[in-house]
Amino acid sequence: MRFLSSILALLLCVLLCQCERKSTVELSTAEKVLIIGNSNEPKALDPHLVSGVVESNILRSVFEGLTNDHPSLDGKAIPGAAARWESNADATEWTFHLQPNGKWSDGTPLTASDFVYSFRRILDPALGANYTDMLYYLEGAQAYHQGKTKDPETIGAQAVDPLTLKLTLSKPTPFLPEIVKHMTWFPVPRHLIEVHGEMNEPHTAWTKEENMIGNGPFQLKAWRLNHKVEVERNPHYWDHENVLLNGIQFLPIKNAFTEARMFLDDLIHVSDKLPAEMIDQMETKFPEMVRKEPYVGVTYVTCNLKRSPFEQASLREALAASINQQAIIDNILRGGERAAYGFTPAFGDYLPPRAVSYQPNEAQKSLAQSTFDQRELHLLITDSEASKAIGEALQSMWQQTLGINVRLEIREWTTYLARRRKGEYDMVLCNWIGDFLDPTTFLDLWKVDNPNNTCGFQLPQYDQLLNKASLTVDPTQRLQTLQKAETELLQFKPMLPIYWRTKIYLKRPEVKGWNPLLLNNHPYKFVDLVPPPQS
Amino acid sequence: MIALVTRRTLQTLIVVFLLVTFTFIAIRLIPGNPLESDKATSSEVMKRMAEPFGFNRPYVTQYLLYWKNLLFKGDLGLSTTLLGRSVSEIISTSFPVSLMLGLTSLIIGVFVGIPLGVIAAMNKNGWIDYLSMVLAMAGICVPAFVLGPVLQLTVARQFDSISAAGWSRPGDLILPAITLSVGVAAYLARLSRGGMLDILSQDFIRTAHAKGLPLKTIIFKHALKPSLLPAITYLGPAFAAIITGSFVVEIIFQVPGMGQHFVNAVISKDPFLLQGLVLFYGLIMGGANLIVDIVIAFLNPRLRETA
Amino acid sequence: MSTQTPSNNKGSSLWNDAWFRLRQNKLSMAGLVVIVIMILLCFVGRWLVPHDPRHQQLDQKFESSSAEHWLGMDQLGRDLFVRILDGGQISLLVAILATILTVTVGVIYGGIAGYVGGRTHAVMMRIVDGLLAMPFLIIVILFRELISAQLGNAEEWFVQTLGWKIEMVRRISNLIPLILAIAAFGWLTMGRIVCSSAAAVTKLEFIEAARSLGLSHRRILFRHILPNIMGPVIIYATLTIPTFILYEATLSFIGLGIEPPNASWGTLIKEGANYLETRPSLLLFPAAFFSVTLFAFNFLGDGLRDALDPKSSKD
Repeated sequence: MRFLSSILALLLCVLLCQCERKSTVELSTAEKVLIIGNSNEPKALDPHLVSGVVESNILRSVFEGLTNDHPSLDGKAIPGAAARWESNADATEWTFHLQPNGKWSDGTPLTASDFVYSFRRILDPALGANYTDMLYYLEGAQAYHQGKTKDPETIGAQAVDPLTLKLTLSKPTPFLPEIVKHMTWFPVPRHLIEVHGEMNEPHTAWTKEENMIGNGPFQLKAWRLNHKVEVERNPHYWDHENVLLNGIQFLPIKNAFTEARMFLDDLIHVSDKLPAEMIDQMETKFPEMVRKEPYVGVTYVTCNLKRSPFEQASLREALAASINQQAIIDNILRGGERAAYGFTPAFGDYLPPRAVSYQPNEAQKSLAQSTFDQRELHLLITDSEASKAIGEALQSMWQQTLGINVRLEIREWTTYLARRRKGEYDMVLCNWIGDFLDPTTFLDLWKVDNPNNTCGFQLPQYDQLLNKASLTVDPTQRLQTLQKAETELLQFKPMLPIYWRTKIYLKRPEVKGWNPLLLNNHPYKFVDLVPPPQS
Repeated sequence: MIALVTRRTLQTLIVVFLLVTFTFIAIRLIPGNPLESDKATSSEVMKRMAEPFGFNRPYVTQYLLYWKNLLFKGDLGLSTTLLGRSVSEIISTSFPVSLMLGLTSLIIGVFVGIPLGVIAAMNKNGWIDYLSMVLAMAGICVPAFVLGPVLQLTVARQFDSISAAGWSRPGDLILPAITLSVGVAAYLARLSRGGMLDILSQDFIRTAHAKGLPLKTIIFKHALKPSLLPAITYLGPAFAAIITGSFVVEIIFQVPGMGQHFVNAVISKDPFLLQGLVLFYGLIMGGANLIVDIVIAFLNPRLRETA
Repeated sequence: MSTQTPSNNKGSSLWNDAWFRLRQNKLSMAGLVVIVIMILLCFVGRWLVPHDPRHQQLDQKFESSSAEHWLGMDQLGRDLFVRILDGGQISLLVAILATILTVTVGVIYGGIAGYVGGRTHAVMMRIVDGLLAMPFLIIVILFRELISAQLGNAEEWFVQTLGWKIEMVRRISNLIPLILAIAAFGWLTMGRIVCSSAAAVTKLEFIEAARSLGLSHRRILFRHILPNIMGPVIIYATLTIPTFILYEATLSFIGLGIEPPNASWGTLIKEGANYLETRPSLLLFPAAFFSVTLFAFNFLGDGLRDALDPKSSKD
């Protein structure tokens, strides 16, 4: 009974307290704490053991790579943990000069040997990291990770002195400053990790909220399971005077509708996404808050070339040409996505070849040329709403244009991944988001030895062209060679491109310094919260 | 009474043992690897990733080790989806939230549902009866994934102190609790109406009528207690189910409770987490049923010896 | 508690009485009529609507009601009315088939446990208790994964040997894991109810008489005990159907329900709920069909309870 009366009292209180209260967002803006929707609970906060966007969003606030993202310009590296850097003429040897007052968030100085230690840790096969190919640019990294040598000295990273880091690469990489922004290149604190376990021991207690330290503009304050991750200003950050926010809260909001309703109820500043169903309504009501920004990602269908009838080029042509890309974008996605006429999205100076378009008549002609016996085809998709809607649309388009029956095989995420990895599919709907701003982050997927290439695609001239490009120093020539390679790829069509992605989300006007970026990696140190003028 | 408690406890332990064994086998039969990620991983690395969890050992060894660690160290193992977190840590952080939410909604359900059912029974076939049964039916029919959003759009928009979703302020409890309690209240209303009608048709009530006792006295002094038996029997399993089965409400209202771990553990095939949750759920279920049995024994002296 | 006189083999007056009493109950009869209409609509009317529930006309999405499309078009430009009827087919099929399975297994299991009694009874009921504590979801996923491989072969056979259309075969075979999973969970409660009723009937004199006459256990069980416990079974079954429709809807919410392009009432309501603010009709129309059916089954079940258990219907 006492419980009941306290609940009743609570209810009364809540209902009576309707007097002029400030919303969560207003209070938080005044305290300069940004609240962001972050779609899911992070799997872990060890930058060497995670691979997702959810974790990257948090880790980019707690750590800082050698370089950092520019707040508004794509493909421009600004000083991060390194104050300046230079390379030799063919971009195979790089020297990074660290910030003289660079420190960990416990005040310990950050040195070049911390970086060397970090690279050795992630590449140590015993750690079981699976995102290591990001470091294979370093000479000897692949050999060490694959256990061909036990000597960590063979990795091309060297601490010349506490503030000078020398990197030796296996091939020319003019875009290395872009690569080292990535979380796999973040330094990790040796003096903390080794308190809680061995160097190569995974999942130790060093990332718990009471232990964790980093070198980024913020430090971990609280980590509540399925509730929030909160970071606060790091007073030891080398550039802390110029950090504008006092903290950030990352909320693991899984349901996109819940997130939108929380946004409308003034509970978050920036959402992670906006469901397609709500785009129109939000655009009419709050046009200034809806953001539709280009994002380097592609959604496509991979055909399993090892299975009949997909070895037939004319069938793949027919399937590709009967996808009405624009109709999917206009009617299902609604986020201003672009019809993918190639595989790699167009960004920077790279222009993918125009090789795919919706041509129903051509598609029927191609199908007539094939010897396809009209059996039912299977399309493997995940159980997310978006992929089901696209799957249904493809099903209906192939049925209506080609008369081909397609069955959707809907599986939960891990089953989907397992089947995709083992090549157990006819066709599979895939997404790929670029890791950095260079076409190779997309084109490398189709190399014969890439573990993502599970469909049996094998084209010697493609691999040769990619290799040639990797040895080319001149940027224009290099991009031309890559474009040639992609032309070859799209002529073969192991995959059917559908659309290039956009990032659609909600952002309140008081969030300043948050600009459209192709990788959507907003450097939080430049973000600010300015309350709207009193009206 | 002591015999009842010991017997039920033993039974619960056996059931839990079998449940965990079944779960252990089932989760390994389902295809899909708990450590799979969207970064293509070589089988060599996959093996390394599996090492801390002991997945490279034979199933029998894994099974025996599981019980050994559990019984001698109280260790339920590590989650494969929330890396670096132990299953006990996950349960101990999410259970209080679920308990709070579950108890609140059960209490709302009891205080709305039972009076509704009793009043309906007292006015059998009158308009009050029909109205309350239609309400109860509506409560059963409306799925949480419709009621939740409707509440978010109406109540949360209206009142500043009630958030659309979240778990930071006291007001955040209200909407999820109401959503959860609607189904409970509806079931309780139907059960207590049925129970009351049964009792009212029995001879001792007729006698009381004949003696000229007022209806109020009959209902509250004689009929109410025994008529609640079906409703109370339902409360035990309902308690266990509401604590673990509230995933829809948790997802819609952003509540950090246990229900979503259940769904996630199954969907991402997290073996230790699922085994731990099943074990915990079995114990809760056993405990809730035991309490119900004890309460019934007190309410109904005739059953006391046989129960 | 039940002290009805045992029924004879033929023309039992009990059933006639019950039917008479049921007809007096206006709400239940209304429920029965609604159910019949709904079944006719979904299983016959569905084929009379000149639209294909799978056919997308993306340029006509969200069109409102018209003479051509009675309830308008959905978010992918499909006729909503025919989709609701088509979804009703699936929802009703799942619920009814799962209920039949539930009743069969529950009656046999519970009947045996209740009739045999003693230690066997206790063990059989503890097994039920244990299974009730099993998380429902894992059973669903398990069934889907384990059965789908076998289903593929069965589908082939229907298509190859019997020449059925693949969509039709697929439509049914998609439901099988779901039905099995729901039934695997649902029979437990049925087993409990049957068991307690059977135990009560077993104690009655006429069973003693039958035993002393030397009738076989099987004959006693099937000819004498089971017919006498059909009352609670029928009542529970009518109340189970709406529960199963709801189960399926909840499974669809977490993406384990019906596979597209097929839809059930549950998936339609769930998709409709996403347009709550903008196109409420996408939620309201399927929800109306769904709740009317649920109400009808519940009213019928209540009426049956009153009709078959004469005591509680006396005023």
